[in-house]
Amino acid sequence: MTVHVIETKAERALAEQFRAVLPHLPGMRERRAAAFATFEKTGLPSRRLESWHYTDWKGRQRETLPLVEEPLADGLAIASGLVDPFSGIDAYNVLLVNNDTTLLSEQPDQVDVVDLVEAARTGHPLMAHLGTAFPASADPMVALNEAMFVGGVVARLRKGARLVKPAHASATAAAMVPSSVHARSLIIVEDGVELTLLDSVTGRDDIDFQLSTVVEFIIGDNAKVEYITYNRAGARSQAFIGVGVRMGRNSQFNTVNFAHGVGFGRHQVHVAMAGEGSKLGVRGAALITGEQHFDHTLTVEHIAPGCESRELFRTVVDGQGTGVFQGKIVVRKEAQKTDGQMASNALLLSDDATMNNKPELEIFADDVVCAHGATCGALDEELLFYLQARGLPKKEAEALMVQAFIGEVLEFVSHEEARERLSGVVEGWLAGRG
Amino acid sequence: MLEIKNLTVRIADTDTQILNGLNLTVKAGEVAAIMGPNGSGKSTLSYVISGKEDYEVTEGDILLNGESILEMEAHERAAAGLFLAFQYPLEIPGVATMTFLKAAMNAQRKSRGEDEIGPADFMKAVRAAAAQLKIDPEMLKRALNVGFSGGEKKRMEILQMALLKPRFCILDETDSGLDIDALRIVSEGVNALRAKDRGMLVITHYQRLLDHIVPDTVHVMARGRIVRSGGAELAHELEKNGYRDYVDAA
Repeated sequence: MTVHVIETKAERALAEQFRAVLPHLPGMRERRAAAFATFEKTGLPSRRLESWHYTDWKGRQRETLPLVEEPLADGLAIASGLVDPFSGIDAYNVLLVNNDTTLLSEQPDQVDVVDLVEAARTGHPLMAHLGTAFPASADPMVALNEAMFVGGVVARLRKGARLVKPAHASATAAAMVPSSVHARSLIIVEDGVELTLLDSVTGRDDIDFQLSTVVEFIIGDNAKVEYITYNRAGARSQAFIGVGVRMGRNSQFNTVNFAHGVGFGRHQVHVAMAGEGSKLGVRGAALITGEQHFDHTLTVEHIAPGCESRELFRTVVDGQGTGVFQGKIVVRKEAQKTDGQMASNALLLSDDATMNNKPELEIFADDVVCAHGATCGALDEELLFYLQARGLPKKEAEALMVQAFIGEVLEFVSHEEARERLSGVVEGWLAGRG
Repeated sequence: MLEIKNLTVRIADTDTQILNGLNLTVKAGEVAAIMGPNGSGKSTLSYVISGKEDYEVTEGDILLNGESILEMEAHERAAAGLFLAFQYPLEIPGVATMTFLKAAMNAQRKSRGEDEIGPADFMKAVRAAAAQLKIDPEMLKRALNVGFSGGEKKRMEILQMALLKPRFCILDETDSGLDIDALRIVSEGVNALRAKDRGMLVITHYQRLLDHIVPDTVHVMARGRIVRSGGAELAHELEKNGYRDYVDAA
């Protein structure tokens, strides 16, 4: 059977673009060519691909926008007009505007932060880790990112590093003309190191933007990472964010994603629990309205025995919006004593709202405790009446319930100030419903 | 204070009529009890007075302090001073009890054009009311009613009543699910709120609640209307003879 996968105008343009820019991309020519070849086997993902059944990226991407070429000064000006809820939190700050990376604060001892452009160009030894937590073979969008990436950071937190405050990476998709950006980051957290990373992505509402970002974490034994992501890529954005994680023994990784104001987006998490006794928490909340589409997809692979994973996703859909949750927990034969719990709950605020829930378990070990659940429904009328009978007008009663619904995910943001800021974003979104 | 005139109600969008020309007057300072068998329409009456949308009033009127409340939404009736203690208080996951109490108090104040309550005054009021009802302050940090026992939920209803200071209270089967100790605590909480400018309507199946909250008047409800009224002694008579005579006669 012959399948012509590079078939759309956007895909042909991508192939042309790749060949034209390859000589100018920072380093790794062969690796990039191989990744693009992997991408070409599938093309932009469409419904034909099971893992993309509910998010037709190919159908949505009518054309391929040119790579961003915004001068840094203009990009900074645009970035300064966008609201990042984490700004002002006391943190080690990294500013990423399109492909430009700026370190705004001193680096703590035992921490190396390298601009990805530089690292890729010079063949920095840490680049050997690239693609080990989220391989190009795992997903065509990750392959495309590996072929095309320009900006981002490579960070190594060496054994013994002690961070006294969180790190904050603030990324902005900022251009005056419709553009695309492919960004990549690689974070190596060595044995015993603790890191809280706040990662925000913001973009304009009034311009088409194609964004692809992949962040990889290589987590050492006994290390502990909290990774809080905020995505407000913009009403006209098409934004793919991939997070790949490889976990060591007795390590902990907790991540919460919060998305709103994204035109068409997907947040995809890929975790390999490769070390015994590790604990994972993957949570997400999405507020979707208008004709927006947001997709949370995750794959958790229990490779080593005695690991625990907890997943909770809450989606609120208003207007003609569409929400997607796909969660797959794979328990390999060797991963005995696995404890996995996954839940996705959606709240539909309008008759035209859509939610697709697809939780999956693939269990090959026999001594495990695994469960999943998915719900989808409107606000409970009895609860609304209870609140109204206590004096809350209907809109306020609804807002309180939505806030509570999302609040159960935000509870897992242990950085108090970050949690409060996100809670404030929910309030603002609800107030905006009118 | 509360006047119900010829109230005729059916479930919205159906022909099922539940209240059939019900008449009832409760004066300021009066505690009136409504007793009746299952299915007589007692809970429906409490919902209709409170403004639940599932019902359609086809005839009659409900007046609170001389003004009709039928056109008011549920939250407006609450701000006007009406309070319903639910038979089955609802659990609200994710909303801390304190947050809920404050939201309710401030929403009513706002509706009445009053300022929001200050944090210190709020804490003081909550602590005092909680102590009287023997509610552990730790419980107030938990999500409202989530994982609470039946008795705790009912005490929480009375706590809300004490904080919101309504002008007219409806207690819908407040005794259901209570053990003897909880019944006493809840009743003491209600009795403490009896006042000469406040009316109460106590709905119950059983006379035992009325041993603790002694009513001024007792009304028997059957098939959607009041079929007999009397003093506190009527409750004892019902306990002895049952509702049979009224069900057959209604």
